[in-house]
Amino acid sequence: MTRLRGNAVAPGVALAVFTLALLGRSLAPNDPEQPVAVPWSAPSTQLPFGADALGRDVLSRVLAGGANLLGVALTAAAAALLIGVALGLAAGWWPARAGRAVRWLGDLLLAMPALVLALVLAVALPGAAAVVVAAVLSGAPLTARVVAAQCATVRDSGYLHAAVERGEHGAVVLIRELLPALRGLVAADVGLRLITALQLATTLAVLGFGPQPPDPDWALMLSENLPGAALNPTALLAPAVPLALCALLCAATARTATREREGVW
Amino acid sequence: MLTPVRSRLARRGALPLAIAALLLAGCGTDTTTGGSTDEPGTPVDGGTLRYVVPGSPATASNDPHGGLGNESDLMRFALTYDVLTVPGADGTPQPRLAQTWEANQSLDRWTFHLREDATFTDGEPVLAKDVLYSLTRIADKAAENYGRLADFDMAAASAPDDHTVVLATRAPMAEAPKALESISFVVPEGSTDFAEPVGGSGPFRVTETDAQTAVLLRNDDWWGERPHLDRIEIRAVADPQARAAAVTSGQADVAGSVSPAAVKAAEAGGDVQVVRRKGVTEYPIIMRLDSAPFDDPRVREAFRLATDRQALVDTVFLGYGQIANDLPTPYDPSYPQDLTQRTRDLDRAKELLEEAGHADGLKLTLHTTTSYPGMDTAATLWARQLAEVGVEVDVKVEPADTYWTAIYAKKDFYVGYYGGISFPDLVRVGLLAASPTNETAWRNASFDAEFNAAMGILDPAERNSKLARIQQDLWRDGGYVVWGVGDGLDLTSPGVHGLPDGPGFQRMFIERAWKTR
Repeated sequence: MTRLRGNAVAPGVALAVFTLALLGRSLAPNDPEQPVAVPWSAPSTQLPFGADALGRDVLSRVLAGGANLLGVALTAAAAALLIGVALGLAAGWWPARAGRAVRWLGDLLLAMPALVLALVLAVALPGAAAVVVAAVLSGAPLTARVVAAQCATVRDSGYLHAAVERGEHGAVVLIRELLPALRGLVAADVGLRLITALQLATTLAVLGFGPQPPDPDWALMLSENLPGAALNPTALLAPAVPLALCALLCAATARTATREREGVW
Repeated sequence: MLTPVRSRLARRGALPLAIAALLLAGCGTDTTTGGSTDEPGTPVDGGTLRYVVPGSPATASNDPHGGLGNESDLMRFALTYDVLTVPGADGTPQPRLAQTWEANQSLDRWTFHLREDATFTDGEPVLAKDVLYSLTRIADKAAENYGRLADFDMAAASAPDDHTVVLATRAPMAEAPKALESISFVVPEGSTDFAEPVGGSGPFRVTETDAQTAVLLRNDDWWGERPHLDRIEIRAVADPQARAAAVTSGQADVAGSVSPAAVKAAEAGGDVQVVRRKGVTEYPIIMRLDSAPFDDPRVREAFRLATDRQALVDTVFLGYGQIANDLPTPYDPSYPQDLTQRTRDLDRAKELLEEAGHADGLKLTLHTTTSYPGMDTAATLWARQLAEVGVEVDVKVEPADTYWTAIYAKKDFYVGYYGGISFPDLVRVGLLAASPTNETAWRNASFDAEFNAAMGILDPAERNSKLARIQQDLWRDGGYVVWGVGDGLDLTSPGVHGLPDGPGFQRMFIERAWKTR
C-alpha cells in the first residue's frame, strides 16, 4: 500500500498541476488582459493575488499563463524523447553502422550549451520553435545515449533472439519486444527532458523571445512584474511558484520512475 | 536570476541615445514643482552626502569631454570642473565661468567674458586658452560624444585676451549660451592624460576614485559661494531598484532616477522624500508619415483621438507625470500655450478611420522595448485603447540592446523615447528634411524655412512665438502621439535639502545641497 502511494503521488500531482495549467484560462475569474484595478494593487478579497503593472488581475493571469509555456515544454520534451529513443534504439541494435553515427553526432551536439543554442535559434525562429529545436538538439543525444546503452545490454536476451528467429522484422522487434523493456528508463527520461524544455522556454520568454504582451505567460510575468516587486510581491510570486512546482514535480516523477526501475526505495 | 543581465544589456543599449537626447539640450521652463527637499530651514554646514547615481563601473571614465555614458561620471565632472553656463531655474542659461556674453548682429559670433578669480586645484588661473583648449577637445571628439559641439566652428574661435573667448557658430544660433550649458567642462590647457582625474576649478575636488565610487572634498579655493557640505560620495549603481533600496536601507542619502514603482513603495514605507523633476521622461508613439496607413492624416488623427492620456499617465508613470498634447516638448519655453488639449473622442476616431477606408478595422504591429521602465506597459495599454476603435495592434517587445539601432528611426510604428530635449534641438535632430534621425518622416519645406528664420532672432520672446507657430502645424499633422510626460524621480532620506529639481542636467549641480544632523 505504502509502495503504491509513494509511487503515485508525484506523477499524480504533476498530472493535476499540468491539467490545471492547461485548462486554467477557462477558470479565470477576470479577463487576463483587461485592467480591472489600480496598477500594482495589493492582494484583496476581489483580487487574491493583487494587480500587475497595468492593473490586470494576477490570479487570472496565473491561471491562463501556464498553458502556452507547458504546451511548448511538453511538445519540446516529447519531440526530444521520440527522436532520442528512435536514435538510441537504432544505435543499440545496429551498433556498427547507426551506433557510430549517433555517437559522433551526439558528441558534436552535446558540446554546445543548450541555452546558447536556444538563444541563437531564437534570432531566426519564433520563440516556441526555438525551444523545441534546442530541446531536441540538446536532449535527444542524451536520451539516445542511455537508450543505446540499455539496448546493447538486453540485445542478447533470449526472448529477443527468439523473436528474430521467428523471422520478425527488425523494427517490429525493436518496438514490440525491446521498447517495453526500456519503459522505466524512458519514463525517467521524460522528466529530465521536460525540465530542460521548461528551463529553455522560461529563459527565452523572460528574455523577450517568447510570448508577447498582453499574453499572460508565467515566464513573461516574471519580468513584467519585477519592477513592482516592492508594491505587490504577490504578482511576482504567483507565477514563480507554479513554475518551480512544475520543475520539482518533473524531477520527482523522474526519480520515482528511476526507483521503480531499479527497485530502490 | 536572468533579469539583472537583461537590465544591464538594456541600459548599455539605450544609453547612447538617452545621453544624446539629454546632451542635445534638455531644458524647460517649468521648475515650480514642489521637490519636497526645498522646505524652508537654515542650511547647516558640514557633513557627507552619499549619492547613488545611475552608472556602470564597467564604462566609467575620467574624461569630461568623451561620451559621458555614465551619470555618475557626469555628476563628478559637474562638481569638479567649471562650465561656461549652467541651466537656470527658469530654463535660461545662467553665468558660471562665463560672467556675461553677447553676440554680433548676425548671431554667429559669440563673445564670452570669463570671471577672473577662478583657479585650478594646482593654483594656476583659469584662462581663455584653457577654455578654447577644452571646447576644441570636445569638438574633436565628436565621434565619441555624438557631435556635442557640432554647431560651433572651433577653428574660427579666438581668445582676444586672457579672460575673453569669441566662439563662431556655423549658422546663426540664438541659443549658443544654452548649447554650452552643463557640458563645457574646462580643464587646464594641454591636459591629454585622463587615466587619472585631471584637476579642475569647480566647487569640489576628487580625493579618491575607483570604478564605482568617487569621494569629493569641498574645494575651499572655489570662487563661488562656499558649499555647505564637506564631502560628497558618488556611487555608480546601474540597477534602479538597487538605488532606491540604498536609500530606504540607509546606505545612501540620495538615489538618482528611480522608477515610479520604487517611489510609490518607498513613500508607503515612510521616512523618505521625493524630488520630482518635471518633463523628464516621454514615450511617444512614433508613426512614419511616408508609410501606410500613417500617410493618411485621418488615421494619425484617429489614433490620437483614441488615446486615453490620463489612463496612460496613471498606469505607466503611476501618476508621477502630466498628460501631454502630442507635442514632444511641452516644457519648452516655445510651447504654444494656447493650444487646445486633444481629448479622447472614440466616435470621431471611428468616423475618421471609416473615412480613411478602414471601416472594417486595421491590423498593425507596434514595436517597443524594456530599455526604460514602463515602455512595454505603455505599448500594451495603448494597444488596448486602440482596440476600442477597431484597430488591432500587436505589441512586439524587442530586445533592449538592439532597439536603438534596429528599431528606432527604422520601423514605421514604435514607442520612442525623449528625455527632456529642447524644441530647437528636437527640430535639428528629427524634424527638418535633412535631419539625421527624422523618425516621423516629417518633411515640410515651409516648416524648415520658418524654423531657420526663427533661429536667427535674438529676442527670446519673438523667437519663441515663431517657434510656437510651427508647433501648431506639428500638433495638427505630425507623426507623434505624445500622451504624457513623466517626472524624473529622485529619492532622498529625510534630512537632505537643497537638491535641484530643475530640468535637464541641472540635477547634476548639487553643490548647494545640505544635510540636517
